[in-house]
Amino acid sequence: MSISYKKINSMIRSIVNDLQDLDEHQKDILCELCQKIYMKESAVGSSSKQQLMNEIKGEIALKADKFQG
Amino acid sequence: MKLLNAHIKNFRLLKDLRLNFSTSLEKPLTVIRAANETGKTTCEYALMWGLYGSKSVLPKKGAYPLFPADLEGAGEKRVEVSVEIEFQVEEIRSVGRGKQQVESSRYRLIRSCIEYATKDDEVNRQSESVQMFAVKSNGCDPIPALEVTEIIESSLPEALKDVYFTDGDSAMSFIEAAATAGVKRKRVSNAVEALLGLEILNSTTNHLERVASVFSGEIDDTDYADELERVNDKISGWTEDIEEWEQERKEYEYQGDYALKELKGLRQNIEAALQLGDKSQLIEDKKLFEKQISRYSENRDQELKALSRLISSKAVSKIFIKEPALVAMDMLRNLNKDNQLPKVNIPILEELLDRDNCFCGEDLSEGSNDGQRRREAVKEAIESSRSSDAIQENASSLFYGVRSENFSNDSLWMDDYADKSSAYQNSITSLSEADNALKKLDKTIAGIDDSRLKELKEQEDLLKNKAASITTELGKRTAQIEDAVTRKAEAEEDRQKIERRLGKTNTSAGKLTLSRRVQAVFGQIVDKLKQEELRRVSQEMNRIFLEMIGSDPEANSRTLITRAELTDDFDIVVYGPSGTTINPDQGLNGASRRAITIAFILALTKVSEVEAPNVIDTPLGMTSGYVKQSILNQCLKEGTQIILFLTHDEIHGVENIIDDYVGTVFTLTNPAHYPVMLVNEPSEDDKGILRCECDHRHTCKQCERRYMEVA
Repeated sequence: MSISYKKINSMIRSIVNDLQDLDEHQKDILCELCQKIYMKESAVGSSSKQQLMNEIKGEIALKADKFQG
Repeated sequence: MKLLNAHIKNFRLLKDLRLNFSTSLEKPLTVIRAANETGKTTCEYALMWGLYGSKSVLPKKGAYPLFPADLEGAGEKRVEVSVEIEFQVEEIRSVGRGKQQVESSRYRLIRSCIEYATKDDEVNRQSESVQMFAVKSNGCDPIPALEVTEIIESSLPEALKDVYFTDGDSAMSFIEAAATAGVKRKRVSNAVEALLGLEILNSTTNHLERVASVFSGEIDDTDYADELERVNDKISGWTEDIEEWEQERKEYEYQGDYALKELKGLRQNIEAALQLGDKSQLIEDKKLFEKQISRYSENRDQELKALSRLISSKAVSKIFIKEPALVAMDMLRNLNKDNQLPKVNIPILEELLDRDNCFCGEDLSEGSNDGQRRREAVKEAIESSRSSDAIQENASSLFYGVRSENFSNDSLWMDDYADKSSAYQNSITSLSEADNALKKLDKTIAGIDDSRLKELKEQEDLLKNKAASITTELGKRTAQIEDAVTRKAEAEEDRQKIERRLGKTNTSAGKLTLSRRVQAVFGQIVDKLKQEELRRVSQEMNRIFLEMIGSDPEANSRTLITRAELTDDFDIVVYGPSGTTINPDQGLNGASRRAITIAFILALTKVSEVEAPNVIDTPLGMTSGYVKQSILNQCLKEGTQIILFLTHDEIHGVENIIDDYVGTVFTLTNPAHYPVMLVNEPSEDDKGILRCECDHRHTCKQCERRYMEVA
């Protein structure tokens, strides 16, 4: 792969940690979600674009309630 | 990604060559020792061809035949070329049900093609194909064709081939003066964007935008539903347009690059055709020759006339009669001295016949017998004097005619003759030489088929027009994209206003909120990469570069190179004392040019934290001493797998560093170098490159070389 996924994961963690208006629980959810989406986007042998968007949509929908608390 | 091994067959002079590479963390260095003309660059080309194929790697079809020259010479008409590469990569893989995981995979890639010689001695390439297998402990699984390019792009993107495969030429491609500033910026920005993975991130942002639009559209608020839908439609439309136009722009950029490459190849062909002779120029030369021959011919005629005049001159007669003439002159002078010249008897005797008395008083009258007798005597004397008088008259005439002639200065004539004769000979020689040259020129002109040159020039014109048209289209797409981006941003502002008015209790609103949060995170990542990480690349490049060239401006104000920078516009700039800028391609020496390019590549690799091989052909050329050691040290410090093609001279002076880091080392030898450069006659008849396991310090019978001064 081009840029290291580890680097992106650490950048996601760093950016989310700086978000003052979120509590730790929300930060964890957002962080995990972003990392998951990036994994989907950069995965080899992944599905079609539409399928990928549906998966992203599904991941967000799944986490939305927990994120709202 | 790490390269494990490669097997190259019939790729130019690499007839059957196996390469293996070190993957050790402690010993990341692979050294392939090879003298000049031993296939270093060809190895690089073969590896790149294996990964990316002819379209991306090789110059225009036919301009770079892979067909091994000796096979062609042996009458072979068809050859199978293949490159097999094994590599391992840590990748994110979809494992079903929307799940992904990080895996370490090992792949074997086999690219092959058939090349055949046509009747016109040209080489055609066909049936290029690529196969890939996942290498597992229990065997190999074939990879579906559609996934092969994706795996290669994910492992080592094609946009980075100049970063990871660098040779003497392409290493300079980021700074070379021959390229325009725009082209250089494009190369640098492509490398930066590819290595920082901006394409994936941009794609993520676009997908998130669409997902958010869907959530936004699902919000149940009748007051704003229509308006929101309309704005979302607009944004989706702009997003799709931008994506489509960017694809088109990329395609145009690719076509533009390809056209430039083709143009470069075409110009090389034109240069090559011109080396055979420019027929129109030679015809002009012929006219000049003909004029020169005409001048030489006139000159020869004049010289011949002058020589003829000299040969028919009085002076030459004097030389031929000199000896008898001098004797005659003496005789005449003596006669003259004796008052014998001029002396004639007949007129005096005839005068006596007109008189009655002689001068002495004797009777001469006709009436007397004595007189009659004397007159008869006078008449007899007249008759007898006729021949002597004629002789005397001639002698007198001759004497008075030649008495002033000088017979002693014949050497002047000889000198004159030598000069004129020499001038005549010279004129003949010049004429003959010019004639011969003209004949030779005629033969050359007759032998030149300039239809090829004309055809190439026509192709060049067509290609130039094509390139210009691509540039125009590129400009149009760029303008369209910029306009669409502005309109999309305006629509997004409108949507924000509408969304703020919407109820937040709706579940879709919650999803929308989370989508926007995720979108914002990725937006920040892109911004950070574009700004902070680009600055880090710049700082790292500066640090590595200054270390490589041993410049410390803080410790020494006299230093000539003070800083290197990668600007926000993707220009690589080098600074001299007092902040003056130095053109990297023209103001730096060879070693520093190599250092700045390698420093850029290493900085980019370091900042992106990517594990990938750095395959570098002759990185230490044009360097010596500290800089040489420092470049090698920095490569080893910053890279994860360093594969270097080094000449014997490059190795000299850095053996200790190689000792410390080398995991794999072997030597390549070109048997064609015997006996001039190789000591021993190769044991094999094959003309391909040979490999032996000799390291950087040793030689064997196969690779032992002569070291000699070339006069």
